[in-house]
Amino acid sequence: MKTWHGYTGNVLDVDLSNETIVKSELDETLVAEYAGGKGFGAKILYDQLAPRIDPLSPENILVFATGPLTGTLAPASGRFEVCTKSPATNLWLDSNCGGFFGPELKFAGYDVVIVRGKAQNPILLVVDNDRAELKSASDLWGLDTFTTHQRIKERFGKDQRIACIGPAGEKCVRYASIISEYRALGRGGVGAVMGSKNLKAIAVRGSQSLAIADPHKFMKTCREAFNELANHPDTGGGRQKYGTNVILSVMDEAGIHPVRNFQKVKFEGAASLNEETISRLYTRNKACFGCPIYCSKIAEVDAGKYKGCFTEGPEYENVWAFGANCENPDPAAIVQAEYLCDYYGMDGISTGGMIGYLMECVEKGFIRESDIGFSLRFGDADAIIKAIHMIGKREGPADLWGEGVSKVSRHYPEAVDLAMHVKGLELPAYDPRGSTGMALAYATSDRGGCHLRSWPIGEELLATEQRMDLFSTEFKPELVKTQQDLFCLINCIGMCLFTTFALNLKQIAPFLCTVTGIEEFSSSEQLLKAGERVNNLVRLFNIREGLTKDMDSLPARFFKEPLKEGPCKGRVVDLEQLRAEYYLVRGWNSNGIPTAAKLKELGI
Amino acid sequence: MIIIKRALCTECQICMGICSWSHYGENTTKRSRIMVEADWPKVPTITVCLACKDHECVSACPHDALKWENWILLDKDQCDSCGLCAEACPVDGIHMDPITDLPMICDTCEGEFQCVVWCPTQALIRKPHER
Repeated sequence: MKTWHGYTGNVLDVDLSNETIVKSELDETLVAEYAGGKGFGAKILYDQLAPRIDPLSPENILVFATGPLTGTLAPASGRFEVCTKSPATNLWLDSNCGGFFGPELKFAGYDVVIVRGKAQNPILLVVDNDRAELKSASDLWGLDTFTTHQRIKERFGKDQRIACIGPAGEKCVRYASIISEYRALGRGGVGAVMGSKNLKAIAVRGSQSLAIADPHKFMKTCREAFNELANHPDTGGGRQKYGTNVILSVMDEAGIHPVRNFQKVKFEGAASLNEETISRLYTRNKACFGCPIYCSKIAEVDAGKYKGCFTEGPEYENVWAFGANCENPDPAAIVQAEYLCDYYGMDGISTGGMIGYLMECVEKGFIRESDIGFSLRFGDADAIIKAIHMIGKREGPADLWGEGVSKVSRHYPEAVDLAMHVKGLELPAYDPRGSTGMALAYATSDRGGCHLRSWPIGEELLATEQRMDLFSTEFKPELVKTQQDLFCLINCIGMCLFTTFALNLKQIAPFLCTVTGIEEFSSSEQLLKAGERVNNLVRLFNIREGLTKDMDSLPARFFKEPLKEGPCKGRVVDLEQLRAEYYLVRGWNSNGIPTAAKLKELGI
Repeated sequence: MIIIKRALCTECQICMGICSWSHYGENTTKRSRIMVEADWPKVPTITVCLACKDHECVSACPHDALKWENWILLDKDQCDSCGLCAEACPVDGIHMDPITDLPMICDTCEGEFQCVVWCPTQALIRKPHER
């Protein structure tokens, strides 16, 4: 048998319909080409998922995949991926999470867990090193994610690490998340897929260790990287102090922080809702496995009507989604809103996007308040909280809201332009009218409206040297492509994207070759190529699922309604040329389909 | 000895990883002499031998497997993994090795204090020498 380094070399294949669990060896040929994480998920789903299935049917497959660095001492390497077909977009979905579940899966001896079929009754997968069993979860069904964590730990041991769904996942809210150790695999509805399979949770415990190919050089690389991260103004400064909210004021001042469901960019509440005011609620710092950045915070409200409310966060995107997006200036209400999203197990960005959409529809008279049953107006914090409760339970009119803005907007044809999503996934906290980079990033993201496939705004607004112009299109296609390939690779190897603020690929490559001993991983060109390979395979997956050029686009508002204020006043998005150049840079034809030459070059 | 500032701990478990690495050359958190246990959202608990003066673990051992010599030393040949030392420890600072079932007790990395060196938040600090 092969000796694996970095990888454990094992795959757990679980069929819920037959209640069978098969342990097999990881396909060695996958490793150098696809690296791990998102790469493994892409290869498995491309090869094994039947085309055009309903994502909420038993035919869909869930792939939990770690990377070679997951669980190692390399900084911020606690991450794992869940890949599946998204119920929000009907396209590719991978969702990423830190915490402790990924490392524990490696310590239990597995790189990948594949889940197929559908259990007849609520079920729970319990993995304890070599032993993997399916147990009844009937007593857990209906419970919120926090209580679910608690019950499983009481029953199977407090050292179990858990990934579970809440009521929203059970009821297949199309943007339901998986909550793992109080962190979220947020976007695209991975929780709904789990719910559709009657899989309440996976609990893992392991006591093994990971073999490192070149321990001496590996530790040297670690020490150097820890120093780099500690010395960087972001990863060793602002992000440690303010968490992800560190960029709030910058975005607000640049006039690209969307307000009122992207109607404007000037937020009257910015004075009471910025990184300083939010950081006053922080009670302590919190980190994922092996991470010196500790961007996570525990926030607690100590006065007012939300007194006693707490959450792990609140994160920048959620602060926007329930703050500026709904024109709510109260940080305390945001803490409670984020807590409730985790409690029910649903994505904060999409939930906030849904509520913002409804508020604008009510404001403009497309939806009658009597149809909603209560007053849902911009700026009303209590209404936000009420709507979250209703969506989490899919109660009354919120049964429809659980479908997401794209599907809901079909019920109100006149208000279709108010639905702020790309490919069915609600947009995050950057107005693409103010950034040509973000416009292209949103339009070409493989999972729809997402800021984590590439984040050009970092180079346009935050870079300390060679900053790019926000409005210029020059080199933006190249930037977006390179970032997409880099971020994809980072999601393959099990590291956190935040390390890339301080570490470049030349500094990350030594981790991969010292951990795995694989020679190809020593070259940053080869690594970037691996990221490009995975992105192209995902593109092929999406095209097979029906993706067309027209879908690589943005909501009509960004083309038609110029921004009325701020530094980006008067701007709209001009996407056509930008997208055409991007396809060219990618080596795709004018319809966005990878050319035979490109596929050959990548060995697909 | 190690001084613990719980409020600064972020639960990253780097101390546990580096402890396992320093003593066994293994990349894992499972063979660590220092243990960080989360009780979300509360401040985590950190347990490790604090080198107390009473050495109750030494007295509790029925096999004379433990002795104090700058830190607690284990004679593996005498130990039968009964765990009485761990029970006797007033600070729950003794953990059993999941692989060998022997007690694991902090030896300060023989004065190198690797957990203190790697802790990103100074939640672990080294007690200054008493003069």
